[in-house]
Amino acid sequence: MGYVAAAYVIVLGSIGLYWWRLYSRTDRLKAEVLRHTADDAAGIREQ
Amino acid sequence: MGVYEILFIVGFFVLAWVVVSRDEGVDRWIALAGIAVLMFSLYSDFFIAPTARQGVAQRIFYVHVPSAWIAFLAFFLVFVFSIRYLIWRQLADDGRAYACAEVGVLFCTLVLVTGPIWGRPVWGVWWTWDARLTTSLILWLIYVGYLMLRSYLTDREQRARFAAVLGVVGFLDVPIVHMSVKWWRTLHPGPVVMRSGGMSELPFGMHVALWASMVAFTLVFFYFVRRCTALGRLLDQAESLRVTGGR
Repeated sequence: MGYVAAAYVIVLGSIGLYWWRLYSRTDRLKAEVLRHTADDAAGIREQ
Repeated sequence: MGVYEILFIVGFFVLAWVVVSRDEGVDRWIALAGIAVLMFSLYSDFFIAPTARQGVAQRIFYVHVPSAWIAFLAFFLVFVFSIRYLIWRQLADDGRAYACAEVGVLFCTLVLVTGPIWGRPVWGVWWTWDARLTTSLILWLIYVGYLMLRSYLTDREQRARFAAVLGVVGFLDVPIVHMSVKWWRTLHPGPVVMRSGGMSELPFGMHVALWASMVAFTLVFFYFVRRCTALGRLLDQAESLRVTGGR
């Protein structure tokens, strides 16, 4: 049963970790794009 | 309804809440369907499928075979999108090929990890240089190389062109992996699900668990590919903003 538990934990854990990684990278990049866009808008206002 | 059934239903609602709060549109529906079928497949793996001759180790079959199917599907799609890119030079095709390769490597890694975990109690060894295992390892190395190649090249067009060539050439190993159990005498068993004369003689419960896992993994795969493709577009947008300094 230990082998089966190990296999399922690894498979489901890897799927879960990859899912979490997709979410966290998307959040980080969205924040970066928004920051650049906000900087751009502020620059235009200053001009 | 027993404790296990309640646990699976609670698990579904917890994951569904995460999806509903984070995803929109088609992604949301694919993810919800994927979670529902995944919960049913996990239930059927442990409570519907018989363990046949190998004892409980047989249950690894329901994650090992679908992972292999997804890896093959992913690399086939890399092949298709790479050809499309080489013909029409659309960066969107390159982005799709990259997403399929990344998710394919994840599932190919799971094949190479679950295989030895299954092999140890059944064959008595973790690994042997048998044709199926060796060609599968080569397949994994090819697509890890594909991802490494992409990360080393900075020019967008050059990266897409080189990766597309590797995506086409690398796919040649997939039929070799599939046919290896027929071409060479191997420790790995031959086809047990689909035989040349039709469906195999697996018990009904095993078919239910296997096909539920196949459908669940396929839905999870398409969800990941869609998210990864969207992430790639976001990455391109962020890179162009970094270059122009937000202008």
